[in-house]
Amino acid sequence: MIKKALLFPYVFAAMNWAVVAGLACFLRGSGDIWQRPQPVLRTHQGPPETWA
Amino acid sequence: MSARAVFWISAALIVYVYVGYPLLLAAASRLRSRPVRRRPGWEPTVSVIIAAHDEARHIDAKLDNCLELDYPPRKLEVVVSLDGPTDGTDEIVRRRAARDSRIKVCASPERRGKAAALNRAFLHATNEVLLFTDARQRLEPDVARTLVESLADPEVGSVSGELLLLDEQGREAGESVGLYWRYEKTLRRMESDLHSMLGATGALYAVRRRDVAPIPEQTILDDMMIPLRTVLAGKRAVFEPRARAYDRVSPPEWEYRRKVRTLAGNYQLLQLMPELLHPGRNPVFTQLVSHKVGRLVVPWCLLALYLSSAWVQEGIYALAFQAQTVWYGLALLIPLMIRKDGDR
Repeated sequence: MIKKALLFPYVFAAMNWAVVAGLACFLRGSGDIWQRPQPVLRTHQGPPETWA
Repeated sequence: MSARAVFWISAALIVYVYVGYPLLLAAASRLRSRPVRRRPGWEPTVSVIIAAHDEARHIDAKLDNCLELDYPPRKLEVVVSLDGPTDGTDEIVRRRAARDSRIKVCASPERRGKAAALNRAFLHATNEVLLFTDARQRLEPDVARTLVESLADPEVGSVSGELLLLDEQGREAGESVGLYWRYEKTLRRMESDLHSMLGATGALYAVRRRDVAPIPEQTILDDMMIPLRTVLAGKRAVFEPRARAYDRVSPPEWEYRRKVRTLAGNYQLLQLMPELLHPGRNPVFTQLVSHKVGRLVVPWCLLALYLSSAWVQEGIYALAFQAQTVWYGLALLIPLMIRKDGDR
């Protein structure tokens, strides 16, 4: 419970930093984006490491 | 404008986006809820649409999952739109299509992106309802039935299912990512009850074929554009929590990258569909501005809040400055502490 509470500032900051990063990606041109998580501007470099 | 005014306006905007709007939405959705006139047992023809690039790891199981849906086999087809796969996905799909006439394949030899793949699929799908899903997620057997029930309501243009994130033990994720996802789902449900969601869950949503048109090839968020187009045309984009898809929680760095991509897509959507920001043309203008545009503005409000409190530095402003410094300090230190914990 304490760990979850301590995580919250980090998650909140990361979410809002993602907004700024998203704007930067949009302004630079986002290119080909798939559902699979990957860096927005780099071209596809192969499947990511799987959790399976 | 004085630093004090900047401080209070920024604080008010932040509180509105995260607390005020959800409370207003909760009240509004209770007072003015619009039930969907579902028709259980309605069975239109359905085309399951899967856009696939390199999905060799998942596509075989996904095709099994789709063909085993609890829906009349003669009323169901699966359209796989291949987008320049390089890992053997095309061989797997074509082999399956040769054995089962319900699987249709359309392909681009080179990679052109998901939007282009979906546009190709639209041309090959022949059924009344298009059910969009991604290659990775597992669907519950009754998703087709539960989604089309809502489309029986002529006011409904699109219907989204629910994506459940599971941890490695197969339980619903409960750490920070799961909690955020639960908060978002509550907002989506209330927005749906009031009028419409601001998009759909890309892993599982359905639209009537006649309400779908090709989307711009550079579109990042097809799962927002397609449903919102139906909303701008006067229909509703609703949420059906009984239609479920399952996925695993990705590592935090992948979730972060996915978030960046989604947010880039939000900016792009406003550029591609500027009518969304026209209150007279968008039935969910208030929800869009409060939920989506508000989130885009919050980081700048946070910065303004910090700088204005640093500038004034007396009384409550000094307290606020110190509290924010501790907050951001924790945000920077926690990942280091977790990493240290993991190293032990």
